[in-house]
Amino acid sequence: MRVALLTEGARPHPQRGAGDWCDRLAAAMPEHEFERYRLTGSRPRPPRRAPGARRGRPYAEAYEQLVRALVLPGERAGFASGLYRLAALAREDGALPAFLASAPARRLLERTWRLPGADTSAGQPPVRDLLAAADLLERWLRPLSAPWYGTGPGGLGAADLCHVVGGGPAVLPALVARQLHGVPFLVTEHRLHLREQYLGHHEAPYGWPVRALRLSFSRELTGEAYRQAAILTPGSAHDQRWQRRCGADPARTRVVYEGTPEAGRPAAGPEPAAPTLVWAGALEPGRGPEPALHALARIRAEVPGARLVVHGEQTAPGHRAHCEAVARRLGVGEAVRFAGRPGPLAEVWASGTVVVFSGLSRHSPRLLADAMLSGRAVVSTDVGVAREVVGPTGLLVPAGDPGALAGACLALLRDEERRGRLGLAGRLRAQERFAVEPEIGAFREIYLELVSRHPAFPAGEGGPVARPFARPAEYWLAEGPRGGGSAVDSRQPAEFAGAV
Amino acid sequence: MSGGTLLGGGADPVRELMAEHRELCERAVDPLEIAAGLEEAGLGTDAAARCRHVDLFALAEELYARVPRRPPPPGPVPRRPGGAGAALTVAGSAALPCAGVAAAMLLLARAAPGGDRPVAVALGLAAAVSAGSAEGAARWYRQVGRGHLGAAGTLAGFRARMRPVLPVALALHLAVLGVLSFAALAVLAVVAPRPGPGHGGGLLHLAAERAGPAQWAAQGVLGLLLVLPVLLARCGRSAAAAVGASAGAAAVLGLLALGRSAPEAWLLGGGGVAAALLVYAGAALGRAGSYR
Repeated sequence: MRVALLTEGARPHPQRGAGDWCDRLAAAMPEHEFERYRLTGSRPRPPRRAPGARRGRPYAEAYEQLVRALVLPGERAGFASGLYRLAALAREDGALPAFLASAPARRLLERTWRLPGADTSAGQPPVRDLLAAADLLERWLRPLSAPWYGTGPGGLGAADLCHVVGGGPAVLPALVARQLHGVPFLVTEHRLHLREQYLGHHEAPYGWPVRALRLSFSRELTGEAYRQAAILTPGSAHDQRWQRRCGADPARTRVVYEGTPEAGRPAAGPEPAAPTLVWAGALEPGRGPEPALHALARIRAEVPGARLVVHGEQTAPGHRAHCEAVARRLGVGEAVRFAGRPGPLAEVWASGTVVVFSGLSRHSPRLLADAMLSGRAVVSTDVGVAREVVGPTGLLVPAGDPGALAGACLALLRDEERRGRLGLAGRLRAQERFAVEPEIGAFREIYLELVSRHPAFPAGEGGPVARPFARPAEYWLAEGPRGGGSAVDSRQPAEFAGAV
Repeated sequence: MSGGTLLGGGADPVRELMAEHRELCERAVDPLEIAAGLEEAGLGTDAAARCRHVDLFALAEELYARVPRRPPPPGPVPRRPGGAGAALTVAGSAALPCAGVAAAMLLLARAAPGGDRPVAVALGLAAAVSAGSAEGAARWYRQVGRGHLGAAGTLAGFRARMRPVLPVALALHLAVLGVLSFAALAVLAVVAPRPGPGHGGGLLHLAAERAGPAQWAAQGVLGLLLVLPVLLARCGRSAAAAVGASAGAAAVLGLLALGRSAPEAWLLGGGGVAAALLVYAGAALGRAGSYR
């Protein structure tokens, strides 16, 4: 079958390895044709002339519906309809970018977002914010003008299903293809785009009203995508709770852990001579090694030879110096080594007796799984995905409690048999859940399930009534009515400048 | 409620959380933002349970409902990074029209009738030097526009605020040009006094009588033709600026080639183009999109 992989190419926080991940998926399923569609962040060519007064009216009505849905809490339901109307108009004459950049669109936005009762009116938005908001809306809606919505070769309408990797604006083309051609889509999110938006906007140079509009758009778009998606595959049950909160149907959600090619790696060698804790991650407030330093001070009261190795670069300026000062103040300056940028992760874990995750929030499931693969015992704070990833194979302690952290580390440092047992159990658990094969197998089944529920009729719309399971899946896989391959080389992704 | 005290919280455990995360709650645009922030601070389902909520989202809903919204005030106007590079660019962009005007004026001066030639050269040099003031006026205009972007509440309000700024910018430039021209004429009166007897009065009088009203009007038109394209270019309308500048030059040269006198060519050709540019700038520079 033909699978359209939709990704976003560039953003302030690039999705780590989204491209690699897609390559791996495509390589693991040679029986399907994968076509890559990527939204890039570059500026497009200047738009054509704005639509005239007569053509502009439907544009203005659809745009007003969309903006009202974004800023008026009572009209949220109009978001999807406004979006699809704009998509249909953009497909007819391609003047959407020009309309969005025009003065009437700006006036309309101004009128709407100063309405009494609008979310955005609270901040008394000045004209500067209005311009920023108009620009942002133009950029977000740009994918609606992508030349992808035909049924010919290279069009999303010819695909059997769309696979959106990473969420965010990449769901827009999938939503439009579903609306226009009935192509089902699934959304794979290893890190929730919406949550990143909520957390990542603090450094954005926008005023409060623009922020409100921006987050409102993200929230409504994500909600619509979750409601319309045939299947959602969050990267953890923790993310699944967020998705359900935003409108996802639990019956259409399957948690698929992100596989790591490192699953076949041999376990780490013998433990270091001195009892050593190893910590890895980014050095920044809230996620840095500070709790581990406090814990180390308590551990050394009981085990004087204990040491701590900190791997990671500082992402907040001055945080490493701060941590060093804290270590000196606690009297453990000699026992802590800051190793800087980590080398291969296998060596990082091998340098310790026990692996410590002390952050207050958001452990990366991949990092946790990688640590477990080393066969070292893991002590982690009980936040985010830690509970479901580590499970019973490691020790979980409450966040922000150095005493509990120290106690858990001491228990493992003193009991060689126990940490060996936990380490092995953790390694087996990670190999079982985070290998590539189960992940690929899950997606293979999801693909088949999707096409079985959404039978494609190459004769086009208006053909016979849909009869699911009238033909076996092999009919569509091998000797499908389309015959030969597609005209589009799957190694060459279609690109469109529309990233946010 | 005895359950609350058994769980270890006070009478209202949410109140502590409110105090701890007050800024997050005041600035949140919706409950999900509070949920994300609480999660980032290390709270989880157990913390929500302490507050007698089923999960973090429900707790965030309560916080969102109990803390009144207090958006932060609009920040200061973001300044454009300036420095040696920007100064060099400004100097370069000012030097170019300067040299162009000087060359054009010297050419025109050669075409001028014999007696007026030194006057034309002096006025031309003054106009060339005033290119710097045109650049300054344009930068000031743009800065005022950027300031009003942050102060005006609506697009119409912005246009109203910008309406008096354009005449002020033009008047500033024309005043500088007038002073420079007068100084050039004074220097001319000292260096090359007009031949013939009977010129009484001081230096100012001598300088004033070197140029007639027609020449002063032509100088004014030249000033407008200098400052308007620079203004348009500074506000993101480079194409219109280039068209305007070249149309002005073409109109003047065309009329000169047709045998009109220099002041006449300036007044008719240059004046027409300047008036058109003025109307266009009045309309285009009132739009808020020109000041980003």
